[in-house]
Amino acid sequence: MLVNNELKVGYARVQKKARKVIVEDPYTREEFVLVSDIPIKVEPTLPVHVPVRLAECIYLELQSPIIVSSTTSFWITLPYELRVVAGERTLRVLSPFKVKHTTVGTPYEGTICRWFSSTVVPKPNVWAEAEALGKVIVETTSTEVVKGVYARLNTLKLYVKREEEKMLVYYGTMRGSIRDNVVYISSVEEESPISGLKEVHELIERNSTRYFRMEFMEGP
Amino acid sequence: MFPQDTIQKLGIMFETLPALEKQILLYVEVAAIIGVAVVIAILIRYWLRRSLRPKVPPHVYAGIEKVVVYGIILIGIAAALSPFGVQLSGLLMVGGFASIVVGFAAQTVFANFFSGLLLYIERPFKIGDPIKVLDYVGRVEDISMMSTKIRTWDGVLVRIPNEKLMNSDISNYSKSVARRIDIPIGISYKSDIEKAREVLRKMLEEHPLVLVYPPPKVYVVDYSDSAIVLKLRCWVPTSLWFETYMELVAKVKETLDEAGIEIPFPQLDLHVKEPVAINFPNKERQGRFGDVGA
Repeated sequence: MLVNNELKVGYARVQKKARKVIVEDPYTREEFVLVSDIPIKVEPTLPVHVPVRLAECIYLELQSPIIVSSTTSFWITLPYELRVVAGERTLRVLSPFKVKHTTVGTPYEGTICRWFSSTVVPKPNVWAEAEALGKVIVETTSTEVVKGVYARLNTLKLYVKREEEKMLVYYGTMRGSIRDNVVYISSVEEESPISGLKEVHELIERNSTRYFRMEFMEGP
Repeated sequence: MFPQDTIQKLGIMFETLPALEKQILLYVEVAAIIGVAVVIAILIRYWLRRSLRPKVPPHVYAGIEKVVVYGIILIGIAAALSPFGVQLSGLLMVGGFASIVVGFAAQTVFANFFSGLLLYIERPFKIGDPIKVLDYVGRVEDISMMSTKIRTWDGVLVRIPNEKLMNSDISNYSKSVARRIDIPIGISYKSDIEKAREVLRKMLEEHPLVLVYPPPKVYVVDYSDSAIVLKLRCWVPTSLWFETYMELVAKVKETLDEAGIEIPFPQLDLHVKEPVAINFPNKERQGRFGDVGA
């Protein structure tokens, strides 16, 4: 639910003014007129919808590479998106963060993934920014440098915790191994990473239809 | 295995058989040869269905199967009829001659057919791929034995004979996940190159569909007559290439305008060495502009 008829997370903003709902992020701004009094709620969702549904994976580039020498765990920041729901109907999916994509592999045979500049967080309970947090368990027996984390988005789990005006978003604990300085996530643990979290079930908006259009492949 | 005398005895028996029985045996022989040909054809059809059918489209497979199966049966029939005086070699010769005649007559048909087969083997594109071939750019709608149909972006259905397609350059836009955009843009000689590069690079980095890797680049490519030419180079998802291209081209001017960087138009400085007489036909104008002219 919106607190004081407004929610602002990063670049995303949802406002309920009289009979209008205004949603905006760096890529969209839209106004909806409410004919009847419908409750508006905002739920976190996987970062796949904005500005178009394009990637099935995410590459988290660590701002500072980390060194690991044995099986260890660390917390990192991750992006997410916000589903603005009126009653049962999704109005729009917003991104609180600037969206970027990258190729993992070559531009010819690689994969297009969502890209995010991620930070390693020492203590998750003191994190005050808008990004979500996720725990990564790395399995290794030798000393390795980790520059990024790669995950298939449909394998991830999302959790949310509401604290007054704030919405804290967490990812399920991810487990993976290192190859070429990148942690490839192979599994996500079933249990919640910390206590008091509520699991988010609708991770991908079914009605998001802005898949690519073939005619845009045309060249000038 | 059989003693020589037994064979001789059988030969004598056969020679002494009544003509009707000989005739019956001949028919049995003919039926047996045709039967063997049919069995071979069925076995080959079975092998084709297992090995070839999963690899080629149904309508192409149907044609191949018919040609092979009926071809074997026809050869079997021709071989079986040889005891009746129908010579296989003669038939083959006539068939060969007929093939040459038909081949010449239907050269284009066969060329298209075999080009179609080669396209299936090589697979430079599949149905649904966006391609550029000859002067056409569009999506492949159908690949048949004789031709390939392309729906161009302006909605026209173009039928291209497979032979023509086989001998042409084909660009398939769906074979890479990312595709490069190159945008050349001229800035005036008065402009700060570094500032222009910086604002344009930032513009590319801000765009959600410009890929982080390979990284976007902005660099000077030419000092032309009226402008310093910069080039913006970035990679975007292939599926959104044109949409992103359109957005970026529009945004380049907006970005340069905001930064106060001029995009010049072609201009020429003219230096006159000696005074030039200008003839004004209108007397009033002559008065206004002085006594220049005749």
